[in-house]
This record gives sequence, C-alpha cells and structure tokens, in this order.
Amino acid sequence: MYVTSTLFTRINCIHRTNISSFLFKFVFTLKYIKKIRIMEQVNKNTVSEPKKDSNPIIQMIEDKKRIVKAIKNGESLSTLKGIKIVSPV
Amino acid sequence: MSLLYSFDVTEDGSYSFISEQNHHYLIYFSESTLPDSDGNIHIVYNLGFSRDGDHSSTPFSFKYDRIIRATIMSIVNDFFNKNDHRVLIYFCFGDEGYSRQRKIVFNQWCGDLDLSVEKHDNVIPYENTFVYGSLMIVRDNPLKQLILTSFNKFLEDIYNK
Repeated sequence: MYVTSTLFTRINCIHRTNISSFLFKFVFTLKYIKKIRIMEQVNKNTVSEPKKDSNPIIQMIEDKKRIVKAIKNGESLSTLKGIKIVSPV
Repeated sequence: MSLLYSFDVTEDGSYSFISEQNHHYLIYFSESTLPDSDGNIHIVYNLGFSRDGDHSSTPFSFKYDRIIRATIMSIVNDFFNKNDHRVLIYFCFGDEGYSRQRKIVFNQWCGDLDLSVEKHDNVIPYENTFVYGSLMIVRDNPLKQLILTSFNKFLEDIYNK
C-alpha cells in the first residue's frame, strides 16, 4: 500500500514537473515570437540612412541623386534621412 | 529690372513657382560640409531645380520663357547677397545623356550671375559617367583659397581612384 502510494505520488510529481516545464517553454517561445515580430515591424517602418561617403563631393552627388529621385516620385524632401534642405533666401 | 515669377517657400524648405505656361518649378538647396586641411568645416549648399517633378532636359516643345531663367538666377543672386561667406555647388547629371546640354544652358544662365561671384567648373567621373559641376563663390570671400584648395584635393582623390 505504502509502495503503491509513493509510486503514485512520484509519477504525479514527474507529470507535474513536465507540465510546468512545458508551460514555461511554451510561454517563453510565445514571448520570443512576439519579440521577433516587433523587430520585423520596426525594420519595415525604418528606412535606414544610406552609408556616408568619405569624399564630400561624392556624398553631395549622391545626396542630389536621392533628391532627384524623391522629386520624381512625388515625395516630400523632408522625408530624406541625412539630407538637410534649407531655405537660405 | 526684369520681370520675375513670384515664388513660395514650400513646407520642406524648397522654393516653388508656376510659369506662364503652367509648368511647376521647384528650386532647392541642400546643406553639406567640406572640411579643409586646417581643420575648418565649411558649409556648402547644393543647388538644384526641377520642372514638373523632373530634372530631365529632354526635348521641351514649349515657347522659351526668359522669366524662368531670370527668376532662378535672381534666387541664386539673392542667396549670395544673404550668404556671402557660403559656397554654392550645382551638379548636372548625365543619366539620360543630356548633362552636357544642361551644363551649356546653365553656363548661359550664369551670365546673369552677380559680378561679385566667380564660378569654377569641373567634370567629375562618377559611376561610369560624368557629372558636370560648378562651384560658385564670392570673389572676396576670405576663405576662398582654403575652400578651393580643399575642393580640388577631394576632386583629385576622385580622379586618382
């Protein structure tokens, strides 16, 4: 009777441990998936600034190319990251 | 004094006017920096303008409108009146094979530049083509030599690549 009872308690204990371990892993995986989705969304919404050239003349040419493209696409020049449009007149 | 189109400053800081033949012109200045060998950083403005959202010089079958040139060059002259210590650069791209023509037209327009401004032309190799550039600076700018030396040094770096 004692042996049966002990055995039953042990099996029950192992079973509970497995369930809690499973639940822990499940919740952790869900959180991980959620985190990846948020990161993907952030990457979609952020247009990274093109790498700056060390030669300022080349950089100026590349900036102007981006401006030309933006105007052609009907985009506002204020959306161009890293390019400062000024009104000096 | 010649007639000019009246222009507005747009939300993004560019200047806009509509010609008599209903073409929309946009003039913009973007700010860049040019370091020199003495450790100074000079502010350089990159000038550009477009017609109806396009920078192309492909055949344009409308009547010549001299007020467009007068308006754009008046903005350039006004720029130097208000920023006599600054530098202005204009680039003509060769994407559609008309950069040279555009450069010739711009040179003609520069006949209207204020006499106090001098222009330095150069041809810059870029991505298997050539970009025609004009650097404009006030003759009496005390930093002129430093700026030109620095610009030419960076230009040399491009040629020697």
